[in-house]
Amino acid sequence: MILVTLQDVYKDYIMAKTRVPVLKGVNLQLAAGEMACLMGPSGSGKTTVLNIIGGIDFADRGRVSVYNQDLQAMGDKQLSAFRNKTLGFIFQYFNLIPVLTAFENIEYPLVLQRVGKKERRRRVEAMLEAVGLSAVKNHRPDELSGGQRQRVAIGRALITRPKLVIADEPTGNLDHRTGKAIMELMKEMNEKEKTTFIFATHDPMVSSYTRRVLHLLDGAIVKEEKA
Amino acid sequence: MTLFLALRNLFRNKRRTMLTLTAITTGIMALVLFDGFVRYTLWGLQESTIRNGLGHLQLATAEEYFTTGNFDPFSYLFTDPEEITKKLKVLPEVREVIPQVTFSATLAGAEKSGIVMVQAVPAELSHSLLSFRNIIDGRDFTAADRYRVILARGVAEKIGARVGDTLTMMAVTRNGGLNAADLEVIGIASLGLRELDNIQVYLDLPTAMDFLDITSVPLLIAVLEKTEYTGEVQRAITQRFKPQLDQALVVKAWEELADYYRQVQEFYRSLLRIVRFIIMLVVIFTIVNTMTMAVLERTREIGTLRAIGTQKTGIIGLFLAEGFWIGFFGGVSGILMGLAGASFINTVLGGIYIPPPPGMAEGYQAFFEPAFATVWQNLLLATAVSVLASIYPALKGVKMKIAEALRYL
Ligand SMILES: Nc1ncnc2c1ncn2[C@@H]1O[C@H](COP(=O)(O)OP(=O)(O)OP(=O)(O)O)[C@@H](O)[C@H]1O
Ligand SMILES: [Mg+2]
Repeated sequence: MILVTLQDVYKDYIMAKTRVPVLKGVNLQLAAGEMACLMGPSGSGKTTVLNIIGGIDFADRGRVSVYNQDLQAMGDKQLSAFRNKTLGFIFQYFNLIPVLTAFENIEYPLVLQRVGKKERRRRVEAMLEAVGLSAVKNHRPDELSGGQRQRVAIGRALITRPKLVIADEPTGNLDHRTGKAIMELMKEMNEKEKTTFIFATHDPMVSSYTRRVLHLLDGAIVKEEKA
Repeated sequence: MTLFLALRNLFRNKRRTMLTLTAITTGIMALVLFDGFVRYTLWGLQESTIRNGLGHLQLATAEEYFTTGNFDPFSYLFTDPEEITKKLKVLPEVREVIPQVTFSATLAGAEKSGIVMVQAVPAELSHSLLSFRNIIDGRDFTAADRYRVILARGVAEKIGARVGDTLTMMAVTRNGGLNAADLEVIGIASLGLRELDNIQVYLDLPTAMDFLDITSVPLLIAVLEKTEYTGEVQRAITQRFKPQLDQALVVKAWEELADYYRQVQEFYRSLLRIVRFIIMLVVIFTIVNTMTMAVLERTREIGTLRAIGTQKTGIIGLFLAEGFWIGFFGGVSGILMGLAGASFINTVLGGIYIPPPPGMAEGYQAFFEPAFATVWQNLLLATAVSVLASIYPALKGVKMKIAEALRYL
């Protein structure tokens, strides 16, 4: 089953009153259960592609379909609910809510879905166990290490059992060993839950975990490797 | 969840939150104190107005008496004042019903003379009607005094009279003729209100009736146990007693007759509105500033919350909730500080001396008596204003594009 389709996606940014083309006809398909990785030099448009797939940025032209939904046609309200239910996000800087504990950060997407308190507790505890954070569940982000923070972020992204997880440089702020452990965790989730992952990275270690590597250069996919 | 998250966000930048709370606290405290001061002052003016001869309710035979009656009391005499008095005194709220004649007269001393307003009530009842009258020289009436007079201080100065002097009073009587009589000055009184101090003199009622050649009075004054009963008793009179009478009756409450009180009240109310407006502007400015900073600081966090599915309304709600808490806590602490300040001034300092306001003859010791209702109003005001002031920053926060907010470091 095809989960993500980008077809002839174009995107310009206006910078200092001049149009700067960033995506110049991106074509891409992701099948459900896949793990894929976007690589390319800084500024090549990796984050932009991920944002468009994630419904937090918009193409100027082309077709964007995720889980059979035409994202270009959705309103903000619908799109927010879609992101909450169908997608998970992992960021380079973890982006946890600083005033919430590890437990509460992971719980948050379920609160948005109005899942009952008991059910939430059960699922969050299980997730804390799965990402190995049960011991620090009541700690706030500033009391956690980088690796632990990214585990919280993974827990938060996966707690809703999303169809697709979008991770933009998930190891960008972690040392090599911690990064590897994080990738192991996501690989495990991919295998167990069949969750689809798409990464953007500069790090060959990350791409070593994915079967597909898409090379982005100057706003277009120029090469694809499949293992 | 929103309220809870907002509460925690309040503690993120403690210094800024403290500054904002201090601003609101100070503003609300000032409002509570000022309100307490105004209430006490108006209450003082109200009581001195009522107990300087106005009474709580005035009963006459016609509406016109209240405008022209002093020049022609004879056209408005009750046919049977006793009947009305008896009926009113049955009400437990009514302490006293006092027959009164007022008329204008010329009062002449050895060298100077002047126009005065004569108020005459029975000597034995004068105390409850004129309890704010302060005899500063000489003595008050006894029931046996006839053809004796008490002068307000300003009148005594104007015509150069002292206790023991004999003055000549001239006025028109019932049959239209001019009558004159000699009066011995037995006392000089201070009334507190300058407008009365310069014009008022007092007689006992039998002397006045004898002098004017009348056997009835044009006015009955009801003094009540408490000022709060005024409206209630007024309704009772017009609805219950008036239909039973075969004489004409008009009832006026003190507030309708006290022009000066109403002016002062209006003045203070406007002042209070202006002060409240200014304080609310300060609160709005502070909140907008604080919240704008909070929104800016949390740009990436807003982007994150939106990315993981929070609706725009959720983000707005978060900042409005934060505004709510700031307003609420600031309001509560402002009220507590205001009440503490008021009781400190009242008990430890024993009030604050206020020099004579315009129209008043004397300064006074002001106490601060904030009312329960206005205290809650101030809390509501602080909370509402700070929620409203958070709208603009919250909208700014939610207007940002998510992808751009996430790039913000
Ligand atoms: N909001 C924006 N306004 C203007 N230009 C932008 C904006 N967002 C991105 N760009 C530009 O678009 C281009 C692609 O950016 P993008 O972040 O997608 O690249 P990237 O491949 O993720 O880079 P990196 O590896 O540094 O993260 C860059 O030249 C960037 O400066
Ligand atoms: Mg990027």
